[in-house]
Amino acid sequence: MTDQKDKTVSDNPEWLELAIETNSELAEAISEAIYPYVEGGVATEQLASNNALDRWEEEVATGPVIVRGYLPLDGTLEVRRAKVEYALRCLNLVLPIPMPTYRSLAQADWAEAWKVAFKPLRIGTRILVHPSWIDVVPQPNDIVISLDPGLAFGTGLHPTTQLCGIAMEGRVTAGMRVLDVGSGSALLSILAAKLGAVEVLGVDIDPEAVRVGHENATINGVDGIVKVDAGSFDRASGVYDIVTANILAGVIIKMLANGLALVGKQFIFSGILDTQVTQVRDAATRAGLDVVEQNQIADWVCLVCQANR
Amino acid sequence: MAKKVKANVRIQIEAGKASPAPPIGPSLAPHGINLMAFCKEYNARTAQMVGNVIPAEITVYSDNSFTFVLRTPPTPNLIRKAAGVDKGSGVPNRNKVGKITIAQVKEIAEQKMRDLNAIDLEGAMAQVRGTARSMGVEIVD
Repeated sequence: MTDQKDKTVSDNPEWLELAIETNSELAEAISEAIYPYVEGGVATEQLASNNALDRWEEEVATGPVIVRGYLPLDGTLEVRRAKVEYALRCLNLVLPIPMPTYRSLAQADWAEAWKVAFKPLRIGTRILVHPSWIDVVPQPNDIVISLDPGLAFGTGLHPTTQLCGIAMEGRVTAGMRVLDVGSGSALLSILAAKLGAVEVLGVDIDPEAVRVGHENATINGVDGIVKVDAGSFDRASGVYDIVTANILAGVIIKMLANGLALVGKQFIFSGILDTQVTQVRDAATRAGLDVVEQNQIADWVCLVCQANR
Repeated sequence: MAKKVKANVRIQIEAGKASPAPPIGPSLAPHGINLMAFCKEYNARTAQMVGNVIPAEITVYSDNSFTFVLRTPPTPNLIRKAAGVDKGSGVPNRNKVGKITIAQVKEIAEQKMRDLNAIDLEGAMAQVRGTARSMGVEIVD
């Protein structure tokens, strides 16, 4: 065996995972040191600390950094393991680093394993969201949306999305024009179309979301009604019957100060933590909206507002 | 929508070679993200860069959706390429394996600038020099 990585696929379906807990400064040096000897490459994971989960507006993970590599449990194991440890000892001469911890891992069908988390999901009374690999038998009045979790936010699992869905179910009626600000996967835009809207505009500042949103609209057969554009509510044309903004309290407040209230008659605001409700309510009132309903799941709140002009 | 970050995972693999096997499978599957969607997207985006190590930084959100960005090749790869050596020194403080010029350090720093947490090019060059030293690669004028 040479210093080069042995690319032969192992017949033995077991792996040895090595993990080194470090910080973000040293992670790259460690990855580089072990890269030549581990199979396929290196993964570095940083979990959001509990603290950061509370400060949910920060899009950063701040917990410890763990560098992981995988060695097949075959004839090459001891040689590779010795090389990894030698490389780390050498690196340790320059930068002090902890030695790895090991655990063995059974071969798993990782390509399928992640799917177990997703099951058909009922939102409100009639809305049924299902991943494409699970067939559902809908009730007569059900609104069925097929959505594969993937790139772009919005799988329907999040309470903020569910609250929005519930609020829309009773309000979006045939013939309406709907604006979905921060459309993500376009789940809510698709829902609006399926509830009878004749024209839905989804806008998102993330170009990935625009692409995925369009794909999802096509899969659900509503691409003739739902249009997804890059940008914010300045893409709006005219006044919409319903405007949904499932984003974050801070963003909603900023948009209200910038004229969001002028582009709609009814508004559904979601993505608001219960500790921020008062601020959003105040911002809505200042913008000329009356809050007509407030709903909550866990610590997430959804506000329904009506323009009073 | 409300994006609540659950984890960041950085995968360092060869361009175009993402598959559900380790390291991707066991490191991403526990986060419940669509593995095949990631592999397909990564391979498509890196198709033109085959032969290079192209790290991907994946942000996993609390509803198991994700986004990712590609990063520049790791600094040591670029240093190895510049120095024309296959690997760094095992004993960087004693055995030197190669040399790169200040101009090459600057070139690498410029390429890496957007991924480094450096304030200016000087700072980025200092980081590149440090990495070179840790690999047993000398800097010459």
